[in-house]
Amino acid sequence: MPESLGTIVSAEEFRLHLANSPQQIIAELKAFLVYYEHHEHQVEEHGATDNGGLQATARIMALLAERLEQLQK
Amino acid sequence: MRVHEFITRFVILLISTLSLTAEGADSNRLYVQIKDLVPEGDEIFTGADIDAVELSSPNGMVRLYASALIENNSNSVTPDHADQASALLGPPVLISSEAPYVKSLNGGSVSVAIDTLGLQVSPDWNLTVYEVDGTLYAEGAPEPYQIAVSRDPSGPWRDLGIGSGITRLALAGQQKLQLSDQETSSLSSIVSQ
Repeated sequence: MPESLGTIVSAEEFRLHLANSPQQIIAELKAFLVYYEHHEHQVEEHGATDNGGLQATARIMALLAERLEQLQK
Repeated sequence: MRVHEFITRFVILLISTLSLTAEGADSNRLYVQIKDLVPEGDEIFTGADIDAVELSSPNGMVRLYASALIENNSNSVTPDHADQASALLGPPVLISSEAPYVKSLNGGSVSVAIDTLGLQVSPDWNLTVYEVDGTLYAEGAPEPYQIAVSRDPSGPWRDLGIGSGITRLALAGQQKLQLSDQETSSLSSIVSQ
């Protein structure tokens, strides 16, 4: 992942590490899922260029799923 | 522009205009509080970026927008920037390109009033918060916020839930809804014009 994208994603990562309610995790997971699906659609159906944005989003979603699992235990 | 899009836009702008000019009693107002769940930062547009707050009937034919700012506890890093609290009033830029853009809460909160114009608002009406999320909005990414409602500007507030990006919740607070495919398509067509 390009360093610039890593910097952008780090703000989301910091926030998600602070998240302390399953409701927030679920809301964020749903929103990022919409985001991910939208951009995937733009790439696959409309020829949009993927400069790593999909990868960055996938990284955030993976972290969200991990935190959700931790909070539900 | 297709006919149904024109009619939809006209009705929405008409209702928005009425909402902006009507000064109803408190019983004709719904108060909405939005608290940012993003930590305060020192960058412009930090936190949830709120474009508009919409109250809509179950069939979507009536759409009312926040018309007054009741309390502003957001943390602006640039007071004279275009990022003014009033930017979250009125319809979203997705519908009206002349509308002001967004208010970034930057770890703070705002409360707004929606004039209900004497209409009977039931628990199956929907509250939609338009937060710049990088989907229908070209820029941004979804960021989380807590939504609460009240019939009194000073509360008590009833938590509706947590949203992120464009989020729609029933006032009953029991059901979370997504924008319909038809609505998303309609908004996308307006944006692309």
